[in-house]
Amino acid sequence: MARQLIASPKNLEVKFVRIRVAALFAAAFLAVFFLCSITASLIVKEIEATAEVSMGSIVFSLSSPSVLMLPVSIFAMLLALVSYLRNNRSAGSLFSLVATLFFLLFMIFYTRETANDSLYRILSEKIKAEGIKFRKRDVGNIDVAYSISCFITLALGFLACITGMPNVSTQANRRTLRKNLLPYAYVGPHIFLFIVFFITPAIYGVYAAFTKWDMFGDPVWIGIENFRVLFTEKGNTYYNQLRNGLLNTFKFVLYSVPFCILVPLSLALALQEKSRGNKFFQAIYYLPALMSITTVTLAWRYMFFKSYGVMNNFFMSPYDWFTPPYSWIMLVVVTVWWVNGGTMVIYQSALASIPIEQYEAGSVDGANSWQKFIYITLPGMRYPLMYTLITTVIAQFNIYGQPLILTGYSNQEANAVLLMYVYDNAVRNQVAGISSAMALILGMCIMLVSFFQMRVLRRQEIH
Amino acid sequence: MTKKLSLVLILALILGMSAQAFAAPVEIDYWSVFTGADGATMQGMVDSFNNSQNEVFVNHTPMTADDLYQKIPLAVQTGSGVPDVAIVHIERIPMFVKQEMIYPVDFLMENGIEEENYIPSAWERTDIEEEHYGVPLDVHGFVTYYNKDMFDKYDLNSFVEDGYLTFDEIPALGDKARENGYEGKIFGLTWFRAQMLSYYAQLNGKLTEDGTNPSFNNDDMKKVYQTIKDLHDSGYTTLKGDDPLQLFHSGDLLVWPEGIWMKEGVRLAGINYGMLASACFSPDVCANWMSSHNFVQFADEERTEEEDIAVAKFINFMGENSLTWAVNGGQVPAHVSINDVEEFGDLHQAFLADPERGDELAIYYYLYWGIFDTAFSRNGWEPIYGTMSIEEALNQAEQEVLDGIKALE
Repeated sequence: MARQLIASPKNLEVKFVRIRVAALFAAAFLAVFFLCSITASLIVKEIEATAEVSMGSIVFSLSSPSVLMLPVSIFAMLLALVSYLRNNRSAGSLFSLVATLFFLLFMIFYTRETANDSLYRILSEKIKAEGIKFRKRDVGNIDVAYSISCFITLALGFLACITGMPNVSTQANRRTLRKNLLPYAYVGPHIFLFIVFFITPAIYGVYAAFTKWDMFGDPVWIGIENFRVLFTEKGNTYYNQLRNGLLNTFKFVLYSVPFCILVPLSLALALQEKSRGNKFFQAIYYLPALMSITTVTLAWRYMFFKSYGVMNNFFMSPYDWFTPPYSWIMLVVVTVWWVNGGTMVIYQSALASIPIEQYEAGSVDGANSWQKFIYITLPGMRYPLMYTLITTVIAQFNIYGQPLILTGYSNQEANAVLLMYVYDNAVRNQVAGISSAMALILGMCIMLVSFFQMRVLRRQEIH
Repeated sequence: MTKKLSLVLILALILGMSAQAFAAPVEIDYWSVFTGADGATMQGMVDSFNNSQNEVFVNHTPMTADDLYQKIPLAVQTGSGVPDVAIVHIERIPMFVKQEMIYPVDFLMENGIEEENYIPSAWERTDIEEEHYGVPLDVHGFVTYYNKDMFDKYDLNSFVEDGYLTFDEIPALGDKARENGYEGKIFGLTWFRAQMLSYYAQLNGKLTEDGTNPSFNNDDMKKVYQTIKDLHDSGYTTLKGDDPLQLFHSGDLLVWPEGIWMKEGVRLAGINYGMLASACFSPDVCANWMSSHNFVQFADEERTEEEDIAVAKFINFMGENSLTWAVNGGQVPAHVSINDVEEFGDLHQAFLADPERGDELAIYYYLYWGIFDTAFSRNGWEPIYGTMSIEEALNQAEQEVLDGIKALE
């Protein structure tokens, strides 16, 4: 009887309406969120300054840890909205609850931030404009009051949660709810960490690319100005750095990736022979992967140093291995030596999974070793090869340590890669806006190349 | 009754004294840019301070300069984990002041820090807009090491008798050494920025005239480049790809411009060395590029008056007991009391603390020091090696500073 009631058209209609209403509340939460504002006030030497600050600018102010709760809240409410639109009440309700709780936590903790640097700057400038001289330590607490729209946002969040909440009056419903929510309990911690440590910094990174920012004060939105400088302002330092850095990064990827695939593949094939001592050599080949890139690069640097380097002295070689074109050889050798171990282990495992019968059948058909490699081994390893090719390309695009230690900016920046410029501009020079734009361009390049690779490899797979 | 009263009073006195004796010390957090051997020396000095009294306990966190300059903005911005006192390089202070990241030290000065106790050239650099922001721990700079045994062997001591080595003397020194059978290198090209700025200071060169725009792309700087290039092209300097440190440690380099902090390494390498001021155009204009480690207080309104007093006490102790810093750290303490310590006078770097040679200490002041440093150092010795022209290198560095300022302001 109960099942009949639940499944009746009227109940279905009610359920459908509730989901739509919940989705509406979730959408309203997001809309009103950006209309919210706070009123901050500060009294210095009997002069009071007040300022109304919108929630939008607080989100992007990067001014305190509690602000980090806002992107989590927005992201969770977006997930809730998507869940409701896909008629998933359990997930929608759960995500809207998370979003609302994080917004509530933000409201509690932000009020307690009596020394919020971002608000202090806004307020102190107003007071200093009156000609009053003071320091931050001389002033009292910053008072924060929320506008009514903040409380409306909070209420909308709770309504989105309650309206979408599934019926839990019967044991069967509770069981269904539990079944529906259980996967979220498993992935919840990961999603939380993913949002906090990946999504949020990535969003801020993209945002910073459109700002003028010294890594200390609030970023100032300047639209696409950084990209205009990087792409069109010939003669500008950053225009030149982007071109040189990107070109050198592409060069390095082109030179190193084939070796980063072929060398471990050759070693894996050699170790497959199970000859005497192969376990020992396997350990030796893997060993560099356990070391830090600084250790590896410094060791190679000392070995190949022009004066007193072991190699140059032993072979009586006159070359300066840290000037082009030799510097590119050094960079590739060091990189291959370092990354070889991890890729080799993947290939060994792939080789072990190819059935021996296929090789036996090949032998019966008269295939030689090369034909067996081309027609049995390579097709049998296509997924690990695809995986390692894509991850190696991404890893080599992010090259930083090797050229930094081996060559630096010498030889008129002949080996300077883009990440070296990104780090120096952001951290040493505090020109973080342009630096973020450079990093974003590099990220887009990596995405494009990876996407292209995947398309090509999948097309080959279909054929 | 009187007995009882006396008993109560004695008891109260004992309790009071015990409370005083067992009162928890004021803990202060101290961040420094000293790692490696310097870090160990500084930790030793902090331990000495902690053991010398019971009222203040200093928690020392050493880290590399890059790490400190990366962490500090985040700490100040969030107001969490801000150290009560920190060591920073003097060149960084103007930008910290502009960003309102540090407090003036007037409160420390009300609690025992006195201007007259410090080397003026280091103290005055942190007077900014009528406020004072730093208390110098030391001055450290670029000098010239020479291999005494080799100078004796090849009869070269006449070139350094007056305590100076001029650019005109270097070819003569090299020629004489070679005539007497020496086959190694003569003069080292080492840390580009420090070496070049030492020579540039001798021509009264400034990084900026108006406080904002760079002014180093001028004839004086070109003269410095050309002087070194002439030495290089005539075969009197180390070459591209050489490692001057290894060459000097192996007795294959006669004159090695380097920082005073490198002297312990030279001693450990078993080199009998002497130390001179930077190579110069003439002795009367000699100047050495210097920097200074300064105690500063980053903005933190939760810091109490008690902690500020503890910081002042700590800084005073470090100034008054800085011989260890001179002996083990190889630095020149900025506290003038060091000149009264006989042992300090025997150290190689003591000439840098000589009040009569105060003009030789060239500390640069530029709001955009960070950008300048990166831009100026980017091409390094390349124009000297001939892979690019001097004009090209200077134009590129100047453009980079201008673009950096534009991107920030």
